[in-house]
Amino acid sequence: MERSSWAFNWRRVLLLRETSSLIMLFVVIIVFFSIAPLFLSKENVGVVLEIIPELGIVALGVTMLMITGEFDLSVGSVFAFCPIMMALFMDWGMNSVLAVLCALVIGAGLGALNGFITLTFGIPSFITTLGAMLIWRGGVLLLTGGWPPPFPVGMFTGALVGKIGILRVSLFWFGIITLILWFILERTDFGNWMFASGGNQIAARAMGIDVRRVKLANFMLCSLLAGFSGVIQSFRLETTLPSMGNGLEMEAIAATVIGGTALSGGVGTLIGTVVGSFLIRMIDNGLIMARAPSYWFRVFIGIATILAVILNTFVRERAKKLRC
Amino acid sequence: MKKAIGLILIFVFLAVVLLGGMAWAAKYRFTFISHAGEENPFWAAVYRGAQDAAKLLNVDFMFVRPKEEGDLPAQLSQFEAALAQKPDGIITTIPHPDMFDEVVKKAIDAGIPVICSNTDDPEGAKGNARLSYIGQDLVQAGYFLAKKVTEGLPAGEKYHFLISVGGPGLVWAEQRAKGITQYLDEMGYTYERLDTTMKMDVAQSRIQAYLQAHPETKGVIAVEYNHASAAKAAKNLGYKPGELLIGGFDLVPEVLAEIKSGYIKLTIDQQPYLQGFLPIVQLYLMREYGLSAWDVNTGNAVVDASNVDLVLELSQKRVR
Repeated sequence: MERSSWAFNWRRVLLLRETSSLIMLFVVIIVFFSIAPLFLSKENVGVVLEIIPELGIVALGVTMLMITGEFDLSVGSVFAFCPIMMALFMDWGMNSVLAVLCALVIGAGLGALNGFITLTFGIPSFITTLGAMLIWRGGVLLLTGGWPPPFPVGMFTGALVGKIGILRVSLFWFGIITLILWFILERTDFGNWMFASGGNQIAARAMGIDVRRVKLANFMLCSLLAGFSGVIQSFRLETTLPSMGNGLEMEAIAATVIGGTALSGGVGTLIGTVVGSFLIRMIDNGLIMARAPSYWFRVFIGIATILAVILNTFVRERAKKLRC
Repeated sequence: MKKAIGLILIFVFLAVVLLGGMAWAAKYRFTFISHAGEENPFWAAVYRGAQDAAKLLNVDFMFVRPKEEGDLPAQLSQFEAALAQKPDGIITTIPHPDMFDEVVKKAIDAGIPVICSNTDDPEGAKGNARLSYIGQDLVQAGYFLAKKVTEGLPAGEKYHFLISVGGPGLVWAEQRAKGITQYLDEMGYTYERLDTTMKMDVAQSRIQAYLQAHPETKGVIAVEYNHASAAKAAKNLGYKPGELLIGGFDLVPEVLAEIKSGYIKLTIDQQPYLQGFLPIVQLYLMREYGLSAWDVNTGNAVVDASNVDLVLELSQKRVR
């Protein structure tokens, strides 16, 4: 319409929490493409897109939980625990669909346990889930004795990781889960309760929000998604490894923070987390394409994390001051 | 806004400087993909060997490792990324019986030769399409180690051993452990496996705790380099040199020091320098002259008090 409305939109774009991570994503793509043109080859895009959902789905859960003001460091261990349980159930003769569902229920149950302990005893979730991380990783090794159970033949792997051209079905699951969670967070009362619970608990309680229930639900969701993502990876690799998801919790938190979600809770965005997950996996892949030694990976993720948060704060502050 | 743009420019600049300097033009580009994490000191010699060969032949060589020791999903996706780059040859470890079958075949079908180094498919050439294996026969090496460590024990007695398994579930570790337990079973000895991780400090405290809880333990046999940690644990607990029979694999500096101190009876060297050097040479010859790949057993070289000084000298050059 008129000029002023265009300027208004521009300001709104800058105010979005996703903006700075999106800018970084484009910069990273352009830089890697100019160094190694094969970075955007059809083949390599397929390679990157098949590993993003596994980090992304975990990071979505971590983001939801972080918005309500809590942490989950045990996602990497649950990521390994659920598929191992699934394989064990099937080893004992359970039907494949039922085994997956049971494993996912266990995943949600582990989250409920994290939430119950954190909220009942009033200890930081950082501590609870740090403990849980060690317990379930140890549990995996105890259950398997280091040797993974054989991956069952003839599983319905197509439903989760079937190939459509260069894409895998897991990418669509990632998209659907993002949409559902986005709807819950941005368009329902429950989403508002989440922001309120993470922002100011006392005010939230005064408003009549059951903070405990909101947080507990998100603990369960976070753990459930970690378990689901673990099942996806085990389907893709057709094996269950005790070492799966080692260090994944830090990558998921990095993806969340790069995307613009505040560590302190109360503020956050799922779209940003999706962008953050792309960024992390693309840097990982791009460094190989650019023939850089793998030692650089950590350095780059470190720089990207700090830069993203600086950019985020900076762009938003500037945008607020813009007079339109 | 200016500051924000400045920040982005700094990021781009850093990225271009750091990455641009690394790629240079060479006749062939080879990529080495390993399952071993960056904290694993054994691989320094493999890297050195490959680097020396690459320099000698003037080829571009890249070494890729996962962030966490034994993170196989990461190794697989790194393999796929390396493949998408269409290099002239790939060297990889195969630490899982099936996971790498498909991707290795894909590479070979695409005309990219793949050579296996250090850790092979348990079924060898039957289990994976890789063109050759350069490394140790793992089961046989484990059997040989257990035999050497227990050599000289009076016959007829029953002894208890601790087996340190730093990478439970990984092919290389399980294969060696299989060889070790095979020999101990034959002798009628008892044993227990302990997950000691590949981190030396963690390994030491776990082995120390085990020895305290099981004072009847006659010796510690490691499938990796954690016999160095076992030696340190024995020292801390007041064992005399040689009182506990300690043996294992590989020649990291800590192991050599403990052979000198008398706490480690012997170590089996699989000559990692060759595992880096030879695959590069093979790939080069295959590309340059169309020669075929060939298997190499990099061996069962025993290092003990009798030859440790010579090896120490070479170790300082990171050749052994």
